[in-house]
Amino acid sequence: MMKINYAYRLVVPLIRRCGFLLVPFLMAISAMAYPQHKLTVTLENAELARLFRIIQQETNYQFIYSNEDLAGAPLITVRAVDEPIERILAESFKGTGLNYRISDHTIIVSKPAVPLQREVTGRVTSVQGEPLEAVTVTVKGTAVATTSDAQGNYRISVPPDGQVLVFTSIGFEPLEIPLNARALVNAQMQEVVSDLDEVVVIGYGTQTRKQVTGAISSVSGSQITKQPVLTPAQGLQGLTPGVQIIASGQPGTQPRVQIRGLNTILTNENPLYVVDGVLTEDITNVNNADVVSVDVLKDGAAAIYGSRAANGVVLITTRQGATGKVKVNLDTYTGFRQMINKVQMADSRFYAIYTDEARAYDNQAPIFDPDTIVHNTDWYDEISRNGLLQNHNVTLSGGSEDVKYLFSAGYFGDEGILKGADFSRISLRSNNEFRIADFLKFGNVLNVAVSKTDNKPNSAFTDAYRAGSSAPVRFPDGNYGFISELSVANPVAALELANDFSNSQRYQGNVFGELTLLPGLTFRSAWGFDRTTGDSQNYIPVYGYGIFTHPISELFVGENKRFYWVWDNILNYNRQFGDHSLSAMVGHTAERDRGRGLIIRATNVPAERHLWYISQGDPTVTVDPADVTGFNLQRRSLFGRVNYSFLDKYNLSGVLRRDGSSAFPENQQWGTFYSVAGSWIISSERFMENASWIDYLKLRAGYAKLGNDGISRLVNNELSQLLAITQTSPYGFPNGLASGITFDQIKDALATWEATEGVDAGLEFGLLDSRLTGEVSYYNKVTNAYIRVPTPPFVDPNGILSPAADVRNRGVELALGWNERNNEQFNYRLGFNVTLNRNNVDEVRGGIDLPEGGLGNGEITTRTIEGQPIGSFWVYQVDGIYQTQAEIDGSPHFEGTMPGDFRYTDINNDGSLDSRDRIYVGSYQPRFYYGVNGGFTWKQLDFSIDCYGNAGNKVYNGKKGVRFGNDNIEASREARWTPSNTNTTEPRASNSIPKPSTYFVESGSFFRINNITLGYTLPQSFISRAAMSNARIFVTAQNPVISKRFSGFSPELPGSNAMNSGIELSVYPTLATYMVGVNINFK
Amino acid sequence: MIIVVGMLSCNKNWLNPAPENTLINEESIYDNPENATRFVNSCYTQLNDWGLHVFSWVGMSSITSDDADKGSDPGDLGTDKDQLDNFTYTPTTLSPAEVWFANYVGVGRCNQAIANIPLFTNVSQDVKDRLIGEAKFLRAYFYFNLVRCYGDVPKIDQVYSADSVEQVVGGYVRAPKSEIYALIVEDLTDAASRLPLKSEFGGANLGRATQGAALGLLAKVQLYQRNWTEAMALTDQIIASGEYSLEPDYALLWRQSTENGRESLFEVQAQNGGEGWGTGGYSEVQRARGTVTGGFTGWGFNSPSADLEAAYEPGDVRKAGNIYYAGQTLWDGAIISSNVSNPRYNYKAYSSQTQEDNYDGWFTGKNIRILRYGEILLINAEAANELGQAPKALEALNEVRERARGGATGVLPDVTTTDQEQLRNAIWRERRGELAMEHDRFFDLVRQGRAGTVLRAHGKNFVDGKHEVFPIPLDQIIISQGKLEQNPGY
Repeated sequence: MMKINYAYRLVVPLIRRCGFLLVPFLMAISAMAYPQHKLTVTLENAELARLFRIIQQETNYQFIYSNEDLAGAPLITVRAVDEPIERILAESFKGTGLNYRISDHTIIVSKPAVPLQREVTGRVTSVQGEPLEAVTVTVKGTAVATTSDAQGNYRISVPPDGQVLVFTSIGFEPLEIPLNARALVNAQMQEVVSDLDEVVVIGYGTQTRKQVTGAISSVSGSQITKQPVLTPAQGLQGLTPGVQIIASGQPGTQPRVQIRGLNTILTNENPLYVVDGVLTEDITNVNNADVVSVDVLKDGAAAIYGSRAANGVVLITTRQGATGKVKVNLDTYTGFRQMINKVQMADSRFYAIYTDEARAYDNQAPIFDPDTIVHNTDWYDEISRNGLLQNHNVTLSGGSEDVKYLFSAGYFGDEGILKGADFSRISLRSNNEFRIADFLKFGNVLNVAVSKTDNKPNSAFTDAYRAGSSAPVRFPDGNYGFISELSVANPVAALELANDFSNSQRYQGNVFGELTLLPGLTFRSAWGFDRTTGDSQNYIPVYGYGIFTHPISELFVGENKRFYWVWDNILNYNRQFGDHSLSAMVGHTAERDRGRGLIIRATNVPAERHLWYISQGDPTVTVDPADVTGFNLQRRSLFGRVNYSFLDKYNLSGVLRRDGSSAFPENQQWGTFYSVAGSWIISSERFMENASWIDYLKLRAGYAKLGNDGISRLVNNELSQLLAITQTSPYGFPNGLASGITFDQIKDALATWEATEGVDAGLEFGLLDSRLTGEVSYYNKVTNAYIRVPTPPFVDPNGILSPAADVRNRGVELALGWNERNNEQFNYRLGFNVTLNRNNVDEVRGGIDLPEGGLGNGEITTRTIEGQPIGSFWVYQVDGIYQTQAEIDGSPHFEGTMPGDFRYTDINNDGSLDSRDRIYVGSYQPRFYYGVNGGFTWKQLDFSIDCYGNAGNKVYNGKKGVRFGNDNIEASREARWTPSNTNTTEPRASNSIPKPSTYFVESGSFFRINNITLGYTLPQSFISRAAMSNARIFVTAQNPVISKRFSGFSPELPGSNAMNSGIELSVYPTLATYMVGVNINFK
Repeated sequence: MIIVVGMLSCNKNWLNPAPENTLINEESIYDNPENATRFVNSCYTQLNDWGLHVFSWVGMSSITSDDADKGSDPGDLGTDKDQLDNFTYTPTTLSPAEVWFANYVGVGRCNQAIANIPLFTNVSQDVKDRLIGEAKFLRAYFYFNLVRCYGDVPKIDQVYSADSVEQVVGGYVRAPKSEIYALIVEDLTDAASRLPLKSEFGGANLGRATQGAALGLLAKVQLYQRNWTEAMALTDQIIASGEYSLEPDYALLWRQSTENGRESLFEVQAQNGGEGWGTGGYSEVQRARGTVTGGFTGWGFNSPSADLEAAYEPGDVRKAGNIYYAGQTLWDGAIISSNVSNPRYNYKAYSSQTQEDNYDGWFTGKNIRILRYGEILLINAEAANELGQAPKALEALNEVRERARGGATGVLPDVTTTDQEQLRNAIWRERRGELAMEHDRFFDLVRQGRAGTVLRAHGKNFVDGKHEVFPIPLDQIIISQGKLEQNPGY
């Protein structure tokens, strides 16, 4: 017993000090003792341990040591003849770096004691190199801590046993860095991608992610700002599941955003955007550099926005100043945009041969002699360019305890790839917050955006496709080139003759006051506003070439203005009662959205731009009020939310909103929307304690009813009246134009919101020290969607708008992320997300079908019908190519069919071909879409790559499917059927208008690298002389690589509405952007 | 703040603001007397509609007949013009659907006008009478198109309340052809009693329906019903009125210079005002397809047939008045390339870029002649012949032939036969030559009971007992929830 106690007394302090316990160490303890103090030992290059063993064998001395301490010790040589042990030890330990101590007959070997305290200093920055203020730096395992200053610098006294520094800051991943005896430790912190303590914006309030019961995805501002895109929405592509972004590269436009499938047929399918509390549909005024976070509320999570929540809600929060001295940031990039995936068109020789061949089938005389053609114009080259892109931002921010301020100014210039099509925007922002007393604060957000657009017709892309390559851009006499047998305008002329300018000024923001009435009880009143004014001038000069003539100049001058305001009054209560925590919110909001617009026309206006006024036109021609619009929409809403948590494990939330809108008939103005949801943090349960690899596991589920009032935007104010008066087109009596009126718009008296109801459930997890995080979600919802129910033409030729269809979307989302961040030199992350969605029209009352997808040549390509996704392609099935006239005569065929044309399947076997033989071959809606993201930081370098793709959808090659006769064709048509080339799938040369068929329906699947960014943060030693606290330079490639199966220009085809999506006609081709930039923070 | 919120909540009007830029309610409409005329104007506007008088109508009334081929390039089917040319159309074919739709929109507008005009208290009874007369004339015109195209059609002669879709659909059933004709006759008779003579209409009202227009259309309707006595009496009345006479130069008949002229009973108006001031596309779909120097080009549909060309007697100026050719220099100096897609084009639909007013090639100043004195004479001749009054018939017939000689002698001798059968054929042949390309031929052949014989001889797949009428559009049958029954054979 004695021996054990004795050993224990020694071992415990050792354990405490060294922090580890070694079995070999214990085995080395022996309590046997011998009364002998002198020894003869000879060792050559032996391990210390060997000496210890000899001493233990020969004497009663015992050693206590750790193998680890000895492991690094040098070999020793001992030549001792009957020398005292003390002396032998003293000689042997020299130069080993080890200490020993003799206590009784025990010799304790240890590493030398470290100095008691030492100073460590360093600097904390973000991955982008910005200094981080107020980062907590802790010595791991101790209570010693400090925070970084405004420049990110810190100084900490590390106790002797301190080995590791821990850096923590809200919004950043915690970082641990081993000291390794250094005195300077710089830290680079990564922003949180998904952190449980991260604050999530949920609409009229915030929550920590842990408490959330619904489906919310958050993306930090830095992930958006690195992309050369106009709007934050575009930057979301591929970063979160459930969010599909369909973007075109057209300057000045925002993409179509579809959250968890298409919830509507006729109305706007985009989510509601809320920018600092202001509800809007247009976010082209928001400067990405000002955005601190984007939170996407999906399904039930959006319920607090009631009648505008059904398509999801995207909350955009802009930056605020932070306490500290003024900080100046400069962010700038410049690059160029380039058309990629250009379709190879026929050269002029092949064009000529093809055209004459097609004409010969129609018994028409040839119009070309392929051997005498001189020109070979690549029209796409003639109309496109490498467009310059630039973005420059300066931000000043800072504050004290009582005042926080931020001011930013930005310039965004996008030239686009179509010659002359330019967009530029200047944006200014001033966000301020004032604390007047402990219980009262005020603040404001103000954004001013002034933009200018030089519009060029996108139809130039279509014209470039069609225009014959044998025509020159200009004839030798200077006139625009054309082919007289082809009714396609000269694409270069179309651009050069377009003088279409528009300007917009937008003022958006809010003022708010927040009063703390009692502990936990606050009242907030916020008045948000959004003022837009715009003007446009479109001048069409006199011109004439070929059949394209415009004998009288025309000027269209437009003006529009809109003022929107929203006034929120919200009472918030937060309280903890023991294990129960409660937060409750009730609010009232009123909104008005009012605007008017006018476009007027004059003729014979001089060509000089300074004379583009209506009064300069021909006074004998009536100034024609071509387009006068006006609208006024007023809303009022009451809403509330309750969140209850028990033991931080069980969360319940309920949301209720009553919305009233002037857009609907008087008895239908109010709608009630709600959600109920709960979550269970399983990982906090006792039974999960043994599963040490699971850090976090949460199950959530909810049910919600949400609305979409987009129909009110579609029909303006008319829906609110059961019977409206229509102003018909005027009639041209010889005496003058006579206006007409009639009653012909009858309304569904029960018209009201489109309602979406359904469930959402998910499992969120964090595994392996939260390095692996992820989420699996399921949703299933039905929308009662508006369609135009046709009525007899003498009642209402437009049909009655009625919510007469049910559309279902159900799907699964998966997101996985791997984050390796406990390393100072090298951190990396990988992410993957995928969304599987099934869209189906469950029911259309009355069994009607909705044809859409017109090609502009009399042919339609889609139908929306029960049992199919919205906007399904509806075409004839190609069943090979006719080789002989006998084959044609022996089967159902269309008029004018010749050998070399497609044979179509007579689906209903009635011996003739008509629309009843068309089949459904899929829609533009992808079966799944996914994002793959990765990145690393290594020393001063940072690298990231983001990819996006979708699969299982179809697109319609409308460019190929529209022909007006003698149009140019794609080079691939070389493989066409001819009497001598019969073994082919390409039909003969033809000037016929093709039937919509499976030939034109192609796979819409694609995979694209959205963004590759490589950055380098300049060393401190280098930049500190230039009064900078941080400087980073970077290069970015946006959309550099796309892998697609579609033979056209771009598989991203938003279309004008859900039923017209996925048809490539005058689409803007895909762009790649390459740019360099710098981020600088000044001291 | 809370007080203000409370006030806002109590403000019931907040959700009922006056709609911007929208006439608020039915009552305020009647305050402005101008609106009475506007109700009728909206009926006229429908005459300019694409579905009513343009592509589909051209196809159904003309390409179907032996006077015209589909035209255009062989591969350009104009959606369904090949089907119309070959009688292969079905209930899903677009053209019959568009024509049905457009005419019933017109019927709906006329019903609104007829129901609403009496509600104006600040409009004189005279004006109200006249306006209702115009609306009834137009309703009769729309129904005449419908009954000729589809046979039995729904008789909609009142405004349908919007209260329930069921009620509206309940009225969507076919009424016998005779009931429709009865409505047309009633409307036109009433219109004729309300409308002024053409000469009584001041310049301000030029282009509106007149008594002559109503009587003339009624005469044509009676001709279709073989009510010879009425047809002859009505045309006699028009002839005796002295309001109308033949335009001396046939070639000028469809030019801008003779619009609303001496021969005109009713026209669809088109002015050089701007977009929407005319019948968009009427001229363009029929103009030469290919290179035209000094003129607009077009789509090349409704190409006059070789059979029509051959039907003219030597020296008949109407051939050159109705047809222009590849390679020809036109009256305004425009040169048609010899390379154009078709050998012949419809001269009546030609609109000059340089000599006539046009907004652009699409919105031309081209009036569409619906009813003119030349046809009145031929109706008179046909009715007289059927009533055994050959000399009277010959008089009217030879007046028409007189102009067709263009002043030349030794050509187109007067018809002299008094044999009823021979004279009938002579009158029918005269109708073809005189009214060529004026949307009359197909319906005329059906009326005459010889459509099958003539059209099959022309190589068309006309099936007797089926193709006298067009199919009821399938989409309308669906809207009626099956209450509309299909025509036999479709």
